[in-house]
Amino acid sequence: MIPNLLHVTRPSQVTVTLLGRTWLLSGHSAADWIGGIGWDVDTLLGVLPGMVVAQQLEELFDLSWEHEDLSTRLLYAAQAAIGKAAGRDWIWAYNLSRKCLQGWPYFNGILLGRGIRADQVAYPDWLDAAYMLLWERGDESDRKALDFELLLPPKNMSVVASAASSRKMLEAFAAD
Amino acid sequence: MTTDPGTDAETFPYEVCGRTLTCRYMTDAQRLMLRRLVGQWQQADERQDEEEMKRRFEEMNIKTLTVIESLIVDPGDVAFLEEQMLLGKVKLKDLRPIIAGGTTEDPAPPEDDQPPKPRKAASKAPKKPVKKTVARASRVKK
Repeated sequence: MIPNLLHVTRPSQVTVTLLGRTWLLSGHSAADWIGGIGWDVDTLLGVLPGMVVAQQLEELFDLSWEHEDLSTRLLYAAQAAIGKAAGRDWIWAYNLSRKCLQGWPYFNGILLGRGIRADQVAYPDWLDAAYMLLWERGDESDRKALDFELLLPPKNMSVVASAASSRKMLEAFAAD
Repeated sequence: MTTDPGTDAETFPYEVCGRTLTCRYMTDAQRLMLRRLVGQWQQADERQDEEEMKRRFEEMNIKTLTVIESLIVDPGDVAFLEEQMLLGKVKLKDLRPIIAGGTTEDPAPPEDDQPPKPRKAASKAPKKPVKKTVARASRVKK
């Protein structure tokens, strides 16, 4: 193991634990992850089971018949996967990804002009670039609003919010 | 549409050989996984020799049939189905709609070399009469 904070918090390969087993996800680039989220922003099926590696897919499919609550478990595991892939709280990463998806030609266009290709850059790096793009184009009030918006739990899905994200949200609210 | 009393999952009827089967819906996650698996199996076929392709095809059919049988609520219906298949009265392709929730499978994608279908004309619903407001001249008391 290389003692490197960025390697640990922003791994190049993401695994999740689901149904008592470890599953490897195939996503690498920002395009992989944002596209996976965008496949279905409410259920995150594009992340799980969409990004489970081919070698494990049949095993997960066979297991799916034994668990009636699989849809919920997949959603929670997908949320965790997004957080691991982004190296950030999953809610922050999901909200920013969704914001970028909604204005994809704008975000992708500007970042392409800066030489940042979503299909080549790692997901956490692309999120950093997208975040800075929004941050630098806003004033103090816009930045506070952006930070608050990114920490809000999505209304369209069941959320397992981490204690850290709940604390951050409360701190942001109190600062306002 | 009814529910399976054992699991509360929604069910739908599907008729085969004069018998109505009660079937569960696949979840969206399962349907997505099956589509990916079928794609993988088909890709594997292209890389194999004829014997291996036959073996993979047979494996895929068995897997598909297993999935379909998992969606049928009543074990008696499963036994009936297997009997009919042995008698040659039912083929796997007759059962595939069960995977799609009883409907026909995804329609073929539109042909790229065909002109787009004309949009439906907007319905000419009668317009609501516009209320005319007439400004009342103020009475000026002289």
